[in-house]
Amino acid sequence: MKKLSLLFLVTILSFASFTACEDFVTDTEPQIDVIEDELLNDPEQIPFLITGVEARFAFVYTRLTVASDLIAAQLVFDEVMDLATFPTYRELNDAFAGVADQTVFSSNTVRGVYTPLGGYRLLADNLLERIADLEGLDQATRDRATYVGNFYGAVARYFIGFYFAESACGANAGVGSGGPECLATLGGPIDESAVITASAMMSEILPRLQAAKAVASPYQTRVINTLEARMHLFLGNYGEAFAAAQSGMEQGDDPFQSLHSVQSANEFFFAAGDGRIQVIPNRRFEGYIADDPDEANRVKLRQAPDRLVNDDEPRFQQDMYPVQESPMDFLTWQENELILAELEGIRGQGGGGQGSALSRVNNVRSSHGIGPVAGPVNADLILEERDKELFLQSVRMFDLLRFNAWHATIPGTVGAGSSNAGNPIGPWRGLPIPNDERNQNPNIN
Amino acid sequence: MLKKLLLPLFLLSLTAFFSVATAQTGSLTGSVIDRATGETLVGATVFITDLERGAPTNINGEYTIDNLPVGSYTIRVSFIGYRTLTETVAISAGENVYNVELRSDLTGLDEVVVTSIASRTSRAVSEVAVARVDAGRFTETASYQDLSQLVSGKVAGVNVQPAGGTVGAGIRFNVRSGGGIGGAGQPVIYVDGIRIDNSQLTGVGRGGQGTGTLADINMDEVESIDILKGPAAAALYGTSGSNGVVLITTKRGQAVAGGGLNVRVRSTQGWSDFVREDQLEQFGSTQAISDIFRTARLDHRNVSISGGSEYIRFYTSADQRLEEGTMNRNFMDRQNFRANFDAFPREDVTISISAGYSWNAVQLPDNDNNVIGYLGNTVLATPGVNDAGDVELGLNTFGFTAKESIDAIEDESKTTRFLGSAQFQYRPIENFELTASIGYDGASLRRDNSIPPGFFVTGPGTAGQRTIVNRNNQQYTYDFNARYSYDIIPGLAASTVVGTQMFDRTIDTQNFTKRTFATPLITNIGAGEDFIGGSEGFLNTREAGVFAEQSFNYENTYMFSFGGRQDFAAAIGGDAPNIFYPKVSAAVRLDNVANLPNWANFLKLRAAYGETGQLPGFNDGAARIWGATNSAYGTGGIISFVGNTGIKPERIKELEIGLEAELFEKLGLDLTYYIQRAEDSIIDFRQSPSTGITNLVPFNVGGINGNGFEAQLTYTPIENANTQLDLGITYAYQDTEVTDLGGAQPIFDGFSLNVIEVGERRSEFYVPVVNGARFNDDGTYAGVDAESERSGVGNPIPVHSGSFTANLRVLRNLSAYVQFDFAYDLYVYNNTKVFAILFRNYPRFEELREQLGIGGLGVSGFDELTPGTAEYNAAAEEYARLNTGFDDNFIERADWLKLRELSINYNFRDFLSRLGADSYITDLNVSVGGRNLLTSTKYSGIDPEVNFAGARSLSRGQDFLTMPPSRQLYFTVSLGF
Repeated sequence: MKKLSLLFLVTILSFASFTACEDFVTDTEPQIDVIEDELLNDPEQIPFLITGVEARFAFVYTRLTVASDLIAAQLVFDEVMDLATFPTYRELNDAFAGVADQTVFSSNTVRGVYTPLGGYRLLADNLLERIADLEGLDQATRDRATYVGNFYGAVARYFIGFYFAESACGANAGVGSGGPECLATLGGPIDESAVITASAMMSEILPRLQAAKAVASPYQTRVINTLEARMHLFLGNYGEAFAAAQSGMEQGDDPFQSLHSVQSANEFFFAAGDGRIQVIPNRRFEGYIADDPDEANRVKLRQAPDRLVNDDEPRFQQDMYPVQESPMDFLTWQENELILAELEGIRGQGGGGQGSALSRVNNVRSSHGIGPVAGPVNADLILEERDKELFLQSVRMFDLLRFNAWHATIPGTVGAGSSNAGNPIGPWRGLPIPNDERNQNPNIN
Repeated sequence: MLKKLLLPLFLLSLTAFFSVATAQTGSLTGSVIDRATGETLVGATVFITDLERGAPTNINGEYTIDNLPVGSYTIRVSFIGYRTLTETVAISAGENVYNVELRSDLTGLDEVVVTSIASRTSRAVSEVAVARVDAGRFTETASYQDLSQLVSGKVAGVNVQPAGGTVGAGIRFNVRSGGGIGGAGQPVIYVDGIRIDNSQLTGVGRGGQGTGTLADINMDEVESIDILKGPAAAALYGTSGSNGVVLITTKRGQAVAGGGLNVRVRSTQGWSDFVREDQLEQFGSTQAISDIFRTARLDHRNVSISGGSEYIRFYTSADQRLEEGTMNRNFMDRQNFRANFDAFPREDVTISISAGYSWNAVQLPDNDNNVIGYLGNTVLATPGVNDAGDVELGLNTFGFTAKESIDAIEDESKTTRFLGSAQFQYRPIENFELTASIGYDGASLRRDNSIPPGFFVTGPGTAGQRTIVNRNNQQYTYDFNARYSYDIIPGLAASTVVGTQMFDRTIDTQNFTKRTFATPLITNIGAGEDFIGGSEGFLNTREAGVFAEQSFNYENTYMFSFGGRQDFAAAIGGDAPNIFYPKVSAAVRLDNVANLPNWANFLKLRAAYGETGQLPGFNDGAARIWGATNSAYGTGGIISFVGNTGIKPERIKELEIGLEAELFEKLGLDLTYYIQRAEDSIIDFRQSPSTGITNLVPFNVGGINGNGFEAQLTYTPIENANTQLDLGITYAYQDTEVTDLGGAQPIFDGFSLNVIEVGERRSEFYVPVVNGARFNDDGTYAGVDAESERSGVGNPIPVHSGSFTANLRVLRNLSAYVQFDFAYDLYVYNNTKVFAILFRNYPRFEELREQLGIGGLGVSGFDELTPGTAEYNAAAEEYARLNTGFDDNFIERADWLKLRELSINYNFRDFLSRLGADSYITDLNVSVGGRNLLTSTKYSGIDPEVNFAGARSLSRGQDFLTMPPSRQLYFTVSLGF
């Protein structure tokens, strides 16, 4: 009987611990690096969320620029550089020549832009949703959040709608081909939609920019107008572009930049800088400086260390963003000026004609201490001036398409490593929407 | 009144006195010897079960039990390593002589093994497959770096894959078919009841290799290792036991007659070398690669003192292992101290204390997927023009990073770790036992990674950089259980176990990186000019469970158990607060119920079914959580993770059936077939990035099936005083098939090679198959003919694996042990070869380019072949198979056979005895041996036992500039006093 009693007691005690177990496992100390969503429904936390949106913009923009300027051959994955080893950079450099679709769509470099871009867009939208019903938020913070949510939400949509593509531009896009018709195929989805083309995306972008303008400073308004002008220019909406650019950034305006720090580094440091040189500027930029040494004031290059170059000839690395903290120009008054020059000089907008266009081009050159050009302002001049002025600012891709000037062959040093340099360029004219989207989104093939 | 009582009491006492005085008694005396060798067995137990009295044999192997009432009794004679003998003996008045011959337990049937969380039985009546490694036997003559070396090849169904050949790096266990899809697929490991940390610690640099926390554990302290290989046996260990449970028991003291001490001193000196030089000839930079290896030293010393009495026993040891890797900057200095105590203050109380302290400093080199690794800078060497003006392959070595820079980098992890447990056992009444224990594993790691200024390294340039990492891991294991054993009816014994187990783990980490140091002489991180980054983490997790088990044993012939565990864990989603895991098992001794031939000494059938789980990630059950990101704008909020509040553990079910037999008293056979089914596997679904959800969201929708067969065969054809030969074969077959991903897309590793995909095996290499070369109409090479869709082409986990062992003793004291390990139907991705080709450092590739006229470097002297000829076509086919754009070309069959261990040992005990020195030196052993002595493999790379991404990632079987295992030779002397 004693035995049975003891056994019964132990059994009871053991099962009494049953409920204690649940309390035990849930009574853990909180994590220090994450918080739950609802804790952010607090006016005090809105500045923290605003900064998150800005930070994500910078994170995406620097990576997007490396990828787009690589496929657009401002940057070259040149295998004479010892540290050039990433196959995904090679694929972008080659516009995915000879690469199977499965490889194209699983490019880690493209995924590294596309995935955080989606997150960046959500952060901007979430900020607007959160402040919509938030009580106790002071007006200044609400205005700032409204501006940031709308402006950066619009920029995110610009990135989504203009830089990506569902397919290569045509079944045999041809080697060396790719013009405005390819530009029309660019686009991306939002929230698992079908691809929203760049032109259609404008209906998502412009209302947000208008909402941002409602709370924007005069400088911020001019920045928005320059962005509108850029997008309209790419889409061939020259009238709208001219109207926007006329109210765009003005000489003396600070550039609108993405900001970087050691902890949120400029990607060029690791892809094309002292962190690691995998890609270098196309060698035509050396030529620009050779032709006019003053061009070095805006096309900033630096000779790469010899020990990293497996060739007798020196190679140059970009020096636009020399350190991790280097800010990146996103919109400048010089770009606005060149937009107006193009529109006046070769697109028939406004009444200024060649004279005004040339003046604007030279005004931009003068801002860097570079002597004037004689003109005329034609497509070649605009293309070259934009190539230099907007060096490593992610717009070259669109200029090549607009001016039907895509390169015919793969850039790089012929014979270096396993380089395909000299072979026909591949068919992609935008960044391929990755498998991560294709495989989940029922509206994308 | 008092007088009335006194008289009867007096008469009663008197009667009792005379009845005792006149009862007849006898004594039992005799000797216990080894039946085969005739050697006396010192310390054997002779026990009369009816009277619960017994005696041990003395130094002459003799025993005496006095004052035994005349009668007939059941006597049980036992000794470790021998088959227990039970017989009936008649005791008559006076002296009774009963001499016993015990036979060796060659097949281990009498060995007491762990069969569940609170159960130990002899192997003969176990209902589940059990595996034991008698560590003490192996460590007596050989020196093992860590658990993986000791266990490797010794247990069917437990395959150990090192991440590479660096000393102190991580290891990966493959237990059976791997349980579920989730988790790292690693068993839970306990040391003396302490659930220990089995992480692989990664961080900056190193290209994927991490420090293995198991490297802190000294195998010389270990007495035995029991392995429960799957849910059928490990169900009562609950969640996280899905990949098996490894139970390490450290050495404990034994009572020594006269209160003496056992003192053992051992020293091992060894040398390691890279010996697969032939494999380097495929590269252009053969010599440069060869030059990065060195002869490495091993210096291992151990001293232990043990002893005890009736009331207290102790074991204590001190150990130091200094081991260099065969690559510069790879070194381990490990010091271990252990003190174990067992106290028996009362007959019904046992207190056991285990305490182990280790200090382990490990230096690891950068390698693998890394531009500052030795192999990366010698294999990925571009062609250059030599002094003679000719193009030479592999000339530009150390193109990424100069050798002096790589040499100058210092990377050292220092860990101080304490493993301690206290166990209290109380037996308040007969056959009732209460056990309470607490275990603690506390480890503090400090990692320093220093790149001195003045040396160019990608990233910091010549500015110098220093990173420090601190990691504190503390985990507590609490166990309480009660066991009651009783007879229901004569012959039918039963046992009831109930208990609880709780586990609490806290990890906090800090890391800090600064750059730009003015001088290499001051390494204080505060002297760095530029702050690069810093972070800290903190995680507290808890698990708990309540378990019960009921067992029945009918005359050691029919055994049956059932039980279950209700489990709780902090990581389970809010909608699924706990989970139940059942188990049931049975066994029948056919040799007791069937009329078997005499040569069939033992035959048992067993079957067991059990379930365990695999926990979700800690945050998987959260709805949406935010983290902070640093930026030039300040610190901002970003969505860190979107989870699933309904998430619950993956459930793994296992059914195993087995047969164990002993034939001719010499042949042991242990066969097991198992089936594993994982349900509710946690599949992390990638959301469309356009939704803004950037993490993978977990859902319980997956499933994977596994099955396998394990066989262990032991055979002792010769056994006598002077000669004994033990042969062993261990074999395991395993297969898996992913059955469900809930509609998710295939889950790939970072290199898009290993996949989790429906219809494929776990981690299958999943790539488009290459058919060969394509040709133009004129017969010239046109490219690679490959399939457009992916398919499974091979698996990085061997389908068949095992070992052959032989232990031969001759001339009484000279013994030799040999162990061959093998893996069959195994594939490895040779990414090293891929990059050698990309860097034009692969001569065969250049030869083919010249033969095909497609741009060779002119270094081979081969003539261009004529398109359309057989030679041209053959060259084109081979060239297509070297195209680096197609992964299939580099996924190679990598079956291997290795002479893993060979040792020769001589025991000078008899010699000492003849000298009369055995009263001073009780034992003297001298051994020579080696590991990884020979390798035969189909793999064309340097070595197939590598994985560039360390021991935990989804990437498996990928060779990418990974340090290969080395050959080690050693010489050991051990003395006993």
